[in-house]
Amino acid sequence: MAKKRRKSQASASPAQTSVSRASAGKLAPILYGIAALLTLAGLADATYLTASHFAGETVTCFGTAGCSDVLGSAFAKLGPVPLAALGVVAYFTAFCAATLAGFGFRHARTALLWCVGIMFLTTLALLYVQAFVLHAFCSYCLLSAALTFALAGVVIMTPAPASDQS
Amino acid sequence: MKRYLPYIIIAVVALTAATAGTLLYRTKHARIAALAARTAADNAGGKPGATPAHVQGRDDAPVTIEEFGDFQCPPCGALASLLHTLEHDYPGKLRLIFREYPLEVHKYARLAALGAEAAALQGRFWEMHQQLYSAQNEWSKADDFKPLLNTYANKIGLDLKRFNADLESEKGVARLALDRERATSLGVNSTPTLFINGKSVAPASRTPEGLRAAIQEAIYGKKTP
Repeated sequence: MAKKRRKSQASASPAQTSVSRASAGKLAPILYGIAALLTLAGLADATYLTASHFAGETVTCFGTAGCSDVLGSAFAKLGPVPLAALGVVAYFTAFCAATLAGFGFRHARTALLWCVGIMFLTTLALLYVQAFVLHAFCSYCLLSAALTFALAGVVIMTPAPASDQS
Repeated sequence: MKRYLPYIIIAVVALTAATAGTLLYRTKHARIAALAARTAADNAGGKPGATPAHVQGRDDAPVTIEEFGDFQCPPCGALASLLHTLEHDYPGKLRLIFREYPLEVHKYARLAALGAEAAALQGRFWEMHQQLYSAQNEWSKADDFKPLLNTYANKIGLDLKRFNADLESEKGVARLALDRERATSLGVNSTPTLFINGKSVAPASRTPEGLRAAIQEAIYGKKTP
């Protein structure tokens, strides 16, 4: 399949290649913009949960009734650090990477791919814990999961840069 | 300028997130501290009673009215209606706490209290409270209260199977015992007994005028003429 794609790319005319590069060039900033917006929404969600955790407030769910079960469980912390705070760090890192990638910075896309990949896998693990270990769902966590999945979809769609800018 | 733009965007986002997080933390922390102080004040001079208590109204309301009531006691029924009116007259100012104090002289009072507690387990305490007081004349005189209690439970949308199981469970009994302990520790021996911001209300003041005056005093710190 990959061979076939390479072959078809090789057989494309220089004019076709320049057109596809141009459209990819136009699409990339839009996709990075969407990715940045998604990370901002995730950052807001994680910041809210972190502030609530440190203030000692029991977060009330909307839609589901499991916020206190999930956020009060042993899985909501990594040592003394709440997972929500790690979420803040992850979303902020992803935001930085998306912003820098949108401006054509070297390695920013790779950093974004790694960051979102780790977030995606962590989200899968946390969904598993909610569904099969705690048997409770927290709507804020589900929102974060939806944002991460959307982010992963957007990031995968971003074209690899033809040439990087430093 | 364009070279620095991404760094400026990142710095603005970092600053906004840090500020929003700090403000959120401070607001929540202050609210929780106020709530803790209020709970401590509520419990001052007495045992804590069943927790969480049945509370209606805003946490930050300036007036807390704690009632020790019996669902079969007619003055309690009259008071429930009066408190309902006062809640409308003082929107956002009142916080009502209901404590169970079923009197032994009332044949069905304990079952009614357990019914309200079972309803509470399905998040419908105040609906059952309203139902029991509004139909007090009907069930107080009935030969068998339980079928009527089931009718009320059905009317307010409870899962009847769960309701009847909870009615027999120890959870409600334990809550009644804890409220009774609190009542005893505060010297309560009749119903209804009211406390407004921790101060006992004399039976003679349980009139609309008397309660309004006590509420005004609690809000504004002085007696109204």
